Amino acid sequence: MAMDRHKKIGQKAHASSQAWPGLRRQGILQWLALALLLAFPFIVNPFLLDLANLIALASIGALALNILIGWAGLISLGHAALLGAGAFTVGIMIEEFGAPIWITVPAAAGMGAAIGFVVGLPSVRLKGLYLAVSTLALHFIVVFLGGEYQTHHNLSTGIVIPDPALGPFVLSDRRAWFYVLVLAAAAATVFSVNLLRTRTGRAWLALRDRDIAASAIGVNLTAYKLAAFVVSAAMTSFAGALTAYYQHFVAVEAFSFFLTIQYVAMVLVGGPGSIAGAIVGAAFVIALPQGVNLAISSLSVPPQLKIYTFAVNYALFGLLMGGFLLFEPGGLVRLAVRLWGRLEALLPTATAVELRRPGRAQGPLQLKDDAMAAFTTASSTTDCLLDVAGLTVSYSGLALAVDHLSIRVPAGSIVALLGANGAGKTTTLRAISGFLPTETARITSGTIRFDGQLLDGLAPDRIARSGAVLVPERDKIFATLTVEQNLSIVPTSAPSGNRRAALREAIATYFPILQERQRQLAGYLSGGERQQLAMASALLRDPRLLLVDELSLGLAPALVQELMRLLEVLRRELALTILLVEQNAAAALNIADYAYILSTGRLVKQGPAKELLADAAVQELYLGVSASRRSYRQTAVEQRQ
Amino acid sequence: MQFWINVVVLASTYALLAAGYVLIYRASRVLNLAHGELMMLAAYLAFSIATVLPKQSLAVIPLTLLLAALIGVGIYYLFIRPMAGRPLFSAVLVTVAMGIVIQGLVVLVWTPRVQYLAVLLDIVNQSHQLAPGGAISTLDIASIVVALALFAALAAFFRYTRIGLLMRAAAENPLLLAQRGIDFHRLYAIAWGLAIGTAAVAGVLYTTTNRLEGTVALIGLKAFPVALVGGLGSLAGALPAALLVALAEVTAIQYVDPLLSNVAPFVVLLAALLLRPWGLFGTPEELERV
Repeated sequence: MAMDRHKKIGQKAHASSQAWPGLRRQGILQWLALALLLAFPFIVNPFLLDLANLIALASIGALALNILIGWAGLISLGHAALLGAGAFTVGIMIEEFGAPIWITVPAAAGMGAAIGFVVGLPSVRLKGLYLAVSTLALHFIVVFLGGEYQTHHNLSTGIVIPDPALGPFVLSDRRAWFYVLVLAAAAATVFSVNLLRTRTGRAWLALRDRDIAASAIGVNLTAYKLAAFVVSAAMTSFAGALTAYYQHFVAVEAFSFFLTIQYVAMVLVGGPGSIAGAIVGAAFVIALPQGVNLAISSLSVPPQLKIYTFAVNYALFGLLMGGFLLFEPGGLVRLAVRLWGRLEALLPTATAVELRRPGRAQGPLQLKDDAMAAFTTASSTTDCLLDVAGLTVSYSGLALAVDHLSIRVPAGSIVALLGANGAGKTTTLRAISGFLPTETARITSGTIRFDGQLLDGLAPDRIARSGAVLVPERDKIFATLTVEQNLSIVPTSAPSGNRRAALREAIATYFPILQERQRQLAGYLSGGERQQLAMASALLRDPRLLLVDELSLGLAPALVQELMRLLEVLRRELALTILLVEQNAAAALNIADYAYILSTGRLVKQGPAKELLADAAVQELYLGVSASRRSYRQTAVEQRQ
Repeated sequence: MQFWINVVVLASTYALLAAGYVLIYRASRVLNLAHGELMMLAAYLAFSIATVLPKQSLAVIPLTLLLAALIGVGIYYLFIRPMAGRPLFSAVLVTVAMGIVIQGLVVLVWTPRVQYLAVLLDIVNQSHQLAPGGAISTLDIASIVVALALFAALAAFFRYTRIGLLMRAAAENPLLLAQRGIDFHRLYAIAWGLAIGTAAVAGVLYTTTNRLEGTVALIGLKAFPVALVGGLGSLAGALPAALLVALAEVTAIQYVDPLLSNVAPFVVLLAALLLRPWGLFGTPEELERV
C-alpha cells in the first residue's frame, strides 16, 4: 500500500523529469514518500504491518504469475504447487541439514526453475487448455509429495522454520521483515519492468497476441514458452520460500487449489499484463477477507453466525473474480484509468499534452550493396527463387481449393497471382508460407521449392527464417503492441549490420508515418497504416521473397496505387522478389512483370503483365472494364474451348 | 473380486461426470471447472426438494434433473456466451469463479452440516453378495446401470435426433452452421443443459451413496482427467477412460498408499498427455483447436 504509493509517485517523477521541468517538487514528494515508507512499520499497528508484509509477499507471486498469464498468454493452474515447492524446499533443507537462508532461498528458486522447465516441456506439443491441465496435475503431485514427507517424518502438523540468520543478524521482528519484503517486492517489480524491455519480454507479448503471427516473423515459440515457465516458476518458488520463513511454518494444507485461484484472481482483478496491476491485485485479494472480517465484526453479528464468515468471503471472492472477467477484463488498473479519464473530462483545466515527435533526417535511401542492381528485371525462368509445381490443396480431404497449380517466381521479379474471391489465391499463399495445417486444409500433392529447398511441411517460422516472408491479409499486426514494439520484436539475427542499417533507413524513408506513430498502439492505426506497419515488419526480416496477400483489401484506391508503387521502389532498392496476391488485378498488373490468373483453384491464364493488361478478355473478366455483351459471350466460348 | 467391483463402481461415477465435461467441451470449447460444484449444487437442490417431498424419490429426482438442466442453460446464456471472442482461458476462469461462488453459497444456504440424502429419500442401501469375495450395494448397481443407460441414450441422441445431429455439426464448425441460418447458441445452451443434467444424475447417486457435504465437489475435478484421457471431444472415449482411471486409482489406494487417491487420476492424465494428448478416441486435430 504505502509501497505502491511510493512506487507510483516514483514512476511519475521519473517519467516527468524528462518531459517537463518541475523536477524539484516531484523530488520532494519522492523523498516524503520514501520517509513515509521507512516510518511505516513504526506508525501502523501490528495487524496492518502483518497485512502489508503479506501483500508484499503476495505481489512477488502475482508478478511471477503475471509473466505467464499476462504476458506470455500461457495458462498455469500450478501456482500453489510452485509456492509449495519453494516452501518445502526450505522446510526440508532445514529439517535435514539445518541449511542457512542464503542456501535455502536460492535452492528454492532453483527448484522452481527446474519444475518450471519440466512443466513447460509439454508446451512444446500442447496448447491452451491442455497445458493448463498438465499444470493442474502438478498441483496434485506436489501436494501429495509434501504430505508424504510430513507423514513419514512425523511432522503431521507441519515443519517449523526458525528465524533466518544472515551472519550475526537474525530476522525475527515483523518490522525488520517489512523492509526485507518491500525490498524483495521492489526487486521483483524492477526485474519485471526490465524483463518486459528485453527481446524475450516482447516476444512473449507477441506470443500472447497471436501464436501463428509470431511464428510468421520468425519467433521461436517453444523456447520462449519454456523461458516464461522457468522464469515465472523460479520467481514463484522464491516467494514461497520467503513465505515459509515469514510464517515460521510449512504445511501442505496451506497450498490448496484455492490458493492458485487466489493468485489467478490477483492477476485478473489487477489487470492482466500490467505490473502495477499485479501489485494492486495482490493487495486487493489479500486485504479483501480482512475487510470482510472487519465489517462482520463491526456489524455485531451473533457469534454462532461467525462460521459463515468464510463462506461469505468465498462467495464474494468468486463474484468479484467473475465480475472482472465478464465486465472489466482490463482489471482495476483499466478501471482506474477509465474513471480518471471521466474525471478529467469534467475538469475545465484539462490540457492536451503535445507529444514530442522524434525528428529524423529524411534523405533518400543510399544503397550499400552494389549487387542489387543486377536483380532489377525478371529474366530467365530456369533459375527461379520460388518454384511451385503441381500444387494441390484440399479442404477436409474433399474439396479442392487449389488444383495442380504451377507458378514460377524468378529472382528480382514481381509476380502477381490474380483471381476472384475463392479462386484459391490465399490458399496458395498459405501453403507457401506454411499456414495450412492450422485449418483443415492439407497439401495433397505437388512441391514448393524456395531457392532450391523444399518448403512443404516446414513450420511457418522456419519458412520465414529461410527468407520467404508473408504480409498477411488479416491480423497482420500485433494490435496490443505499439508500432515501435511491433518492429522491435522482429528478430535481428537475419541480416548483417550494414544490411540492417539499410533496411531501417528504407523503412524510415518510405514509411515516415510509422516514425510519427511509433508510441501508438498498433490497434489504433488506420488500415493503410497497418498495411505499412506489416510491410515494414516483413522488410525487417530481410526477405528475399516477399509474399503480399491482398494489399488492397479495405484500402482507398489512391492509397493502393501509392503502396503498389512503393512495392516497386522497394523491389528495386532492396533487391526484393515479390509475389503479389491480389483481387484488384489492375493495380497489381501495373507493377508486376508477370501474372497468373486463377479461377476455382485452377490456372486459367498466364503471361507478361503488359500483355495481360492489353488483353481484352482479361480486361473484361478480371479488370471490370465494360465491353459489349457479344464480346463477353465470345470470351466465354473461347474459354470453354 | 471386490477389487474389480470397486473399479467398476468408481468408473461409473467418473463416466457420468466425464460425459458432462465432454458435452460442454464439444459445444462451447470450454472446460467447465465448476462441474464438481454444479454436481454438488444439484445434490443440495435434491436435498431441499426432498425435505419438501419426503420419501418420494420418484418425484424428487426428475425435478432435480430438470432444475439442473435449466441451471445449465442459464449458465450458458448468462456467463459463457458473453465470453465469446475472448481468450479461451477467460471463459474457463469464469467457470472457476462460478465454482467458488457455489462453494460459498452452499455453505450459506445449506449450512456446513453433513447431510444424508439416502435417509431423506428413504432409500435402503442393501449389500448383495455377488461371489465369495465380493459384495456390491444396491446404489452401486444403480450407479453402473444408470451410467450405461445414459451413455446409450446419449449415443442414440447424437445419432438419430435432429438436435443431436445439429449439435454435432455445431461442434465441428459453428461458423458454417450459422451461415446456414441456424442459431448455434441455442444448441450450445442445450448441451450445457444436458451436461448439468448428467452432473445432477451423478451428484444424486454419489451423495446418496456417500455423504452430502461441501467437499464432494472434489470428485468433479478428479473426473476431469477421465474426459481428457478419453478425448475431450469424444463421448465414446469416456467409458474406457473411466475404467482406466478408476483402475489406477483403486490399485493405488489398495496396494500403494491411500493418500494417492487424489493423485492417481492426474498421474494417468500426465501419462496420457505425454503419450497421446488427444486422448484415446480423439484426433490430433483437436489439439490445434484449443
